Amino acid sequence: MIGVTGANGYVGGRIIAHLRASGIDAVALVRRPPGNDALARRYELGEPLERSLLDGIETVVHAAYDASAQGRDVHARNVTGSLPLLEGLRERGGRVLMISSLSAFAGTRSQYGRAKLELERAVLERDGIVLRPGLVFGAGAGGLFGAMVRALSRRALVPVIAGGTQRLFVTHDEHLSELVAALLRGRADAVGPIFAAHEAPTTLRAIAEQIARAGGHRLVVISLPAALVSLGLRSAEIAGIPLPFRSDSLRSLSHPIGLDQVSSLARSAIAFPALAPELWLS
Amino acid sequence: MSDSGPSVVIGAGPTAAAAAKALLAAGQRVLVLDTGLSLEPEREAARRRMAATTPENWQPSDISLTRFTAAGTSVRGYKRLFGSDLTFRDDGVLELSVDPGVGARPSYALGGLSNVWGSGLLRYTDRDLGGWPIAASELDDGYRAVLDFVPYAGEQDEFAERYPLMRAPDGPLIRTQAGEAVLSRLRRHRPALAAAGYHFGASRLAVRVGHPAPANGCVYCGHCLDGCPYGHIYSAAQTIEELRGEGLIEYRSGLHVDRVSEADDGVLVEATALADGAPVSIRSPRAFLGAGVISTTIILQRSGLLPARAEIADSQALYLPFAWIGRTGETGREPGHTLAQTSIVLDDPAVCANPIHITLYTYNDGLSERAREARPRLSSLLGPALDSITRHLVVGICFFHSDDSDHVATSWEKDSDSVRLEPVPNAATAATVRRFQRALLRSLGPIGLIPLAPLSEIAPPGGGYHYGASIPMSESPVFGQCDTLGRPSATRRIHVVDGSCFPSVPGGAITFSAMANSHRIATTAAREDPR
Repeated sequence: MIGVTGANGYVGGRIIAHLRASGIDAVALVRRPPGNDALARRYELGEPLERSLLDGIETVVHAAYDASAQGRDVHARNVTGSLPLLEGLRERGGRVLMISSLSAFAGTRSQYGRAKLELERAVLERDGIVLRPGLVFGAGAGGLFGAMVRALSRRALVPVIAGGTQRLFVTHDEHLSELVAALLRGRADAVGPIFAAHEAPTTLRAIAEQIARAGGHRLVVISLPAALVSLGLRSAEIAGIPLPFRSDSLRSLSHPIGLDQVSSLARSAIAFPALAPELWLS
Repeated sequence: MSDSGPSVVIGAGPTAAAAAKALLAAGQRVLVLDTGLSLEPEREAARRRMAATTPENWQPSDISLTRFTAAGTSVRGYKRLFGSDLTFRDDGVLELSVDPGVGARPSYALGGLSNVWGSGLLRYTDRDLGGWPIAASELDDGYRAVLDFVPYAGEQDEFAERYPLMRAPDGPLIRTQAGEAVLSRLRRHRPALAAAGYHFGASRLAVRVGHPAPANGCVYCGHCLDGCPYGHIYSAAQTIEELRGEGLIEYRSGLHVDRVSEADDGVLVEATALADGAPVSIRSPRAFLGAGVISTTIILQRSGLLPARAEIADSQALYLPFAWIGRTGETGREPGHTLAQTSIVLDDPAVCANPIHITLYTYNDGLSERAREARPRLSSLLGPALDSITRHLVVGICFFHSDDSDHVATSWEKDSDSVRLEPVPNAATAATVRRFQRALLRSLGPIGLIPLAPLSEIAPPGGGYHYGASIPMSESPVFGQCDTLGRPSATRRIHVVDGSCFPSVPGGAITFSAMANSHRIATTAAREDPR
């Protein structure tokens, strides 16, 4: 059986649905499991592992990430907080398949990227598999892509940062799930993080234009200086105002992974498609 | 003379490699004759050390040895390979004097000019081939055959409507942030630019993009213009070495081919051995001349197959900096490739009767260094601001059709057996360049890509290394021309396979089409005498 953390989130949810649809037994490891669901167990980052959590589970797809943590908590919740799961699996001879991110790379400026990178190391040390997707998209997507689709359905006026031409790789959610399923079946030995995105990068602005075009309207872009946006986001975070986009995400976007690191990552057998309307319009 | 002997291929550059491949595919035996100069041992050793590791582990001494100096990159200088003048080094056999107004030089290196080429893989279309006796579609099989052994980085984009890809590229060579910003802005203004005659798209380059890097493909170290230590930028030397290593061809280097002559039963190739100056004669049923345009032209002149004064048509290069008002990323510091990032074609008969090709280089780590060299006082005055300024520079290398360019005359003096290269000015060139720059200012200026005409520099004829047409193909060749299989008038077994046989030189990448044409000629010729 396969366990999936973060199964209530966008990416984890897509993965568990795909695994089940392709006949793989998968149990959701989530903070608040429904009482009557035999295929869900209670798991929370940062908490000690309940003894029975991993019963019958040989591999865990680790997609959980606590984005609400701030400052030192980011590391405590997401890196240190994942270690009991990693250790529990190792003791049982199990394995982790971690959903990391292309924001995780040596020299990253974001806390998110640093936390993912440290967790990657812990996973790889324990013979686990690490996938690095880019911006995940698909029909009914959550995350940043989902927020963009929803925002652009209301108005075709979007603020972008510094022209919105920062390099960005995209990952179709279905293909990511397929890759996870293939890796679970094959028990491939990965030597390092696997690049899990379309080979040719795009930009946030190009994505916004595509979404607007698919919705039948012309995009009007307002370019804001990165420093101004960062200041605004930081102020909102200090004031405790919840926003769908964090100052840390801005750091990830503004300072993307270098091409030397992208090209050095291992590749999978699955070719990820480029962003295309038929892949997100259901 | 035995008909079962190998066909002779003269030269070991791109067109020679393509001919050798075609002859092998047709089941023929092949003997390659080459001068075959190679890299100095200390530079080759440094290259090997670099190729054995990742760029962050390169030794500073190896880097400085294999990077070219500021002087090596100027318009009038010669492109260097791993810091070496190998590509344009003289072999000391032929007495050749080159007028200072000429940029062309023969190459005696294994791999020829492909050691330092821009690696562009954009094909010709019928629009480019006005006055040619063959249609662009007749090169299709050749293009595909070449792409079978040449790596191919590119993308499926709007450019493919005008310039078919010919096969699916191996993958993209990712642009720098500035390169991406420039191309996406061009794309945003596509309708207006298309109406003004502009076509553009991602560069298509003969670069390996496999993963993981650097073992299988580009690692974005930015060393491209000095030569790729990993060999991921294609060079014809790779094909020749590979065929030789597999025992598929016979390769004889250290020979400077002087003359070719034809009898009823075959071809006599006369050469000089570099080692001792001794004459060498080789007989073969058929010879394919792919020595590179200057060498081939001179061989033809010395063989009496071209007049003693012949003209090489140049597709002249204009080096045109642009000021880029837009995102630059960390140009010069971020990892990236330094080859052309974007291709633009301006096809507007009001500007020029023929399409003009522009390749944009948006990543250039050497620009500040060169500025410091050229304008030391101004540069020191600017201090750190110099980097911010050069980061906003995009360098365009623009290629004009040979009808709109100066040419090069090659004069062979029989008595002294010496050759002189001189410029042949074209009165129309300057006016075309002015119209072109004004058109760019009108169309690209408003979108933040401003041509800096006062800083532009037109290369002397031959200085962009896109030349040919010294023995143009014709349906009914007369003396000084060849037939559609590259055979000089009155010959049956000698084929000119390099750019010398082009009827004209269109703007844009020349090597890819020269290779495709060579492959076409060799394939067709092999059918004439099956063995």
